[in-house]
Amino acid sequence: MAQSIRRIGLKVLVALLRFFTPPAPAGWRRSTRPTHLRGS
Amino acid sequence: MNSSRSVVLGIGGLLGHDANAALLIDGRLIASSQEERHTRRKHDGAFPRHAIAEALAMGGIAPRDVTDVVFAEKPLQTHLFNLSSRPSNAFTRALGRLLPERAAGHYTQPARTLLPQAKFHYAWHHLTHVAGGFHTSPFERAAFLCIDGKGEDYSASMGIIDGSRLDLLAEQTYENGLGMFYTLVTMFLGFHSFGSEYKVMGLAPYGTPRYVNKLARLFTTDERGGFRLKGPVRFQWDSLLAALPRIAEATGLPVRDKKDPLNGDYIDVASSLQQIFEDEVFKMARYIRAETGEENLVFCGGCAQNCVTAGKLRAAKIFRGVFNSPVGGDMGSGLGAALLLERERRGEQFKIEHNGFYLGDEPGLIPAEATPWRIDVKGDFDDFVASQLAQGKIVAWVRGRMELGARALGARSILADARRPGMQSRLNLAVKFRESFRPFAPLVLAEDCAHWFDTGEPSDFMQYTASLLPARRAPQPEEFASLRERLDFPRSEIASVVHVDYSARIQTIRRENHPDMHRLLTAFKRHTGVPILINTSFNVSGQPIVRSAAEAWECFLNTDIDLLVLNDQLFRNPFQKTREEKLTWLNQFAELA
Repeated sequence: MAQSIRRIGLKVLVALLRFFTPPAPAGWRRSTRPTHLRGS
Repeated sequence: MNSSRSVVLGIGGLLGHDANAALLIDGRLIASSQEERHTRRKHDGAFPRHAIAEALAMGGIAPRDVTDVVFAEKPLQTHLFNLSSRPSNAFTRALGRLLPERAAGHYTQPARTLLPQAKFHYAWHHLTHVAGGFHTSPFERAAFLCIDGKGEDYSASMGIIDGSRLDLLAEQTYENGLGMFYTLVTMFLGFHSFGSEYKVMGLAPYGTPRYVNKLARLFTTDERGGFRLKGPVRFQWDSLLAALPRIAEATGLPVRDKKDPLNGDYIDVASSLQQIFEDEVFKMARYIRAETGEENLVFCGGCAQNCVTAGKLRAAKIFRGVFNSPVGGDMGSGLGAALLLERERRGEQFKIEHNGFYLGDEPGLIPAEATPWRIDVKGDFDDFVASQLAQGKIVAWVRGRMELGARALGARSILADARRPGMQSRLNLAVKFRESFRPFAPLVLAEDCAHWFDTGEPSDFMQYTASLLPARRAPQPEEFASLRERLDFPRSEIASVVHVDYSARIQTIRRENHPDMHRLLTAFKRHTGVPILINTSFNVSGQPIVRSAAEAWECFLNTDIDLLVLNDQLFRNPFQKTREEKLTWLNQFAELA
């Protein structure tokens, strides 16, 4: 049961991610990754 | 043990290959090695428990003493990218704060079981390459260019690094970038085993780049080297295989089976691939120079292991200095991860004392069965070995701590006289059991390097190629009847280490870095007038480089190497194994490769 809920939750998460994030265009783009290790 | 000490263990290999570990105690680099050297499985990606155990033993500490573990990847970000095909963004990073990274990591459970007291950290993969490159470089600050097959969700990144600042300025997202392109064409050419890209780099000088325009149909690029393959390809075996017909269509050649002859068309494809790769890297380098204004560049990531490109980049002087770290690729990712934490802890400029990257263990006890074959050397040991080399003997050389990284740097090496006609073929076919077109690398006394090659700059870790000086070249005919004829043509006095385009992947030997090898080369020069020896890794095709004295002895028995140096002792080969016995031994590695 818990595993099914986790699986459905993951699918919803991925669907949301795909919906709200457009594919990135080719080429160099500005990076927004934090570079500090702590808090990762 | 003092509880206030900082004991940092870096672990690399979560992406499934080249697992490794590195140990820093109070900011001092104690040890680092790759798991493959312990398990004898090339590019082994399993949790590096043997490499960790060796590092802890060399540090004289127990697992409970480790205060911090830094992984060289963020597995949750990789997982989300693989599921969604969307690159990392604020949303995925917010998820990363809500969900523990360990939720997606198959390494983390064994690590937590083994190291229960430690605090765990997860680093962006490219930043581990950058840290590994920068803190082993001679620069106080530098721009960086990192290119590899795949970080979590990106394949190239650039920025600026100094002692306290690490700015990741720009990146190329998705995995279908320049690194994947090189891998795909390598597979198209019939080299399917992991990490075979260097074979294509070695093949490229034999051809002409007449397939550049045809291969260019497969990707888009711009003036800054913004490169992407057309059509989605994932870094997964079936996805890569499914993409190969597209290369066949573009080139008009069938996908080559590894058993098929390597004809001129495929060699020209290899040459074209290398040309495209160099052009793209140069475009990226010019863009980074203009964008950052920095005078020095750290070139890192798996693609920076392309030493031909690294050598040309250094010679081109787009940057005043270029450093290509021998641990800037995945085999040094654990070290890079540990260094990332160390730089945050210190918050100021530091360089790591890396001991020439001889960071593994000593060879250990010499097998008892070797004793009858020991040679009692009278007089100077190095001089005697040098005299044997000068007479055409092939010598395996196992001394001191093992190297970290893909290349043998003279601690687990096979050495031979580069002047001997046919030595390249003899080593390839009777000792290494591998493709015959691949060149060997020369060891050269640093103080004599400029008398032979067109560079006075160091290449202490075999990171760069250089060209043989024109005065030392023999002119080559315009045409050769075959690849074999071209390979065997005596294009210089040291033909075995000079490629068909007169390039050589040099390792400069300085007395302060490698006193043993410096003594040997000096003695060899005394005997022959030539300060150069062939250096190739002590292994056979498909086998990781030997680690211990026992492995060295076993490999020695199963090859046609004449002499074996184990620390300060010399042994002759009994030559007791039959050809069939040798092939049976060899095949176990072919199956693992």
